Amino acid sequence: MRNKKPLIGLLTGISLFVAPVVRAADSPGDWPLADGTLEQAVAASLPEQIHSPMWLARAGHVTEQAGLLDMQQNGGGERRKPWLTGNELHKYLGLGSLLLGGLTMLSAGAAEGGEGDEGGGENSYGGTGYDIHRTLALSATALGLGAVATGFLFHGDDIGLESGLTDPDNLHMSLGLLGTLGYVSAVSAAPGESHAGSGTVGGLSMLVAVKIAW
Amino acid sequence: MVWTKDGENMNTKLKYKGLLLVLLGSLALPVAADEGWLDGLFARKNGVAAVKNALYQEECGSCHFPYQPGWLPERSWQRLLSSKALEDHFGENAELDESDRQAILDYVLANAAEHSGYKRSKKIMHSLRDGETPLRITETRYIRRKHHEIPRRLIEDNPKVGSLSNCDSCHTEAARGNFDEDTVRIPGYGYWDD
Repeated sequence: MRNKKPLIGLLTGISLFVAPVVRAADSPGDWPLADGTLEQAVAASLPEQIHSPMWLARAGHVTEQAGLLDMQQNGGGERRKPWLTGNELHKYLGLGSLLLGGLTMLSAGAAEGGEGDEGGGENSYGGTGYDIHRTLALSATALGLGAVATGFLFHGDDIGLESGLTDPDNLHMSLGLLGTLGYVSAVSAAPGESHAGSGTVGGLSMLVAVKIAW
Repeated sequence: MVWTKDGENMNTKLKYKGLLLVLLGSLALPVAADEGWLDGLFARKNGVAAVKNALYQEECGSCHFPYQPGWLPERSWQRLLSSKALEDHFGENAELDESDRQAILDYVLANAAEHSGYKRSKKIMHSLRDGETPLRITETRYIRRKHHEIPRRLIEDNPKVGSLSNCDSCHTEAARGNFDEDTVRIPGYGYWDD
């Protein structure tokens, strides 16, 4: 288990891939491209955010059309909640990142000169304990990055500097970002340099970020 | 070291199984938390505090959704629940016995937005300008912003909703103080996300 750097990329990639998929499934008209034409897709996804004068005259018509399409695509029934919403994905990624961060911290002792340590010396790295610690850290970081990405994607409209930094959502975003940066910093510095500090700060920031939004 | 006939290290195999269990556990915990199984350990405060006053529930809830006190600041409740204001409560006479009125006022003032640790109460307070005293929750900037994307046909023109003030028409867990978008179901339309 020497070269696991691709793992972080893989997990991050999965997170970043799943986010837009869920977003698309959540958007009005559930996967409009699967069943309808591009025109239907555009009409179904047009919310009342189109403010340009060119569109204003048609806004009412488009809105009505979107509603009709919604009903048609669902066989006259109501839109159902997707099996995984963007909100849930963000929540699970954040909680998972926090949990894995905690486990990473707990496994730190075993990473240094534990049983199976191939180097055997005080500053050597290897063996089962080290591998577990490393994999947990990389996974926590990947989930943290996924949580940050999905947070901006699904809750970006809740964030705004006009409410000040003490606004709960702004605090949640800042601390979550700080937590993930702490993870990234620790993973980047490991194993040669001291990285426990940034990892711990990252974990604590993540904990407070989760609690604020809980 | 234990080696398989393929030359694979058995310890490594066991290690991966352990890691798999940990990863599965890391998925199970958030789901357990989301389902409310851990509420006793880690109470959620991302909505508004639910109404826990029977008198308020009975007197106010008999005519409309009993809005949680955490939706408005003290100064709003004081104006809304003054004896004079209740004589013309949004076009209706909602006068109360003085003892009941005072008891309800005490309850809402103690649980008003500025005294709440719940997220949406804090968001409401952050959205108010200095000295602003909203008399309708739906007129606060926070609530307006959270609903601005919803087409009129789904709220005002929807006979099963009628107005933003009918919170529980769409927010299926409104009475519990949970206004997560995942709990929104607009009558005649279904699941909505912003």
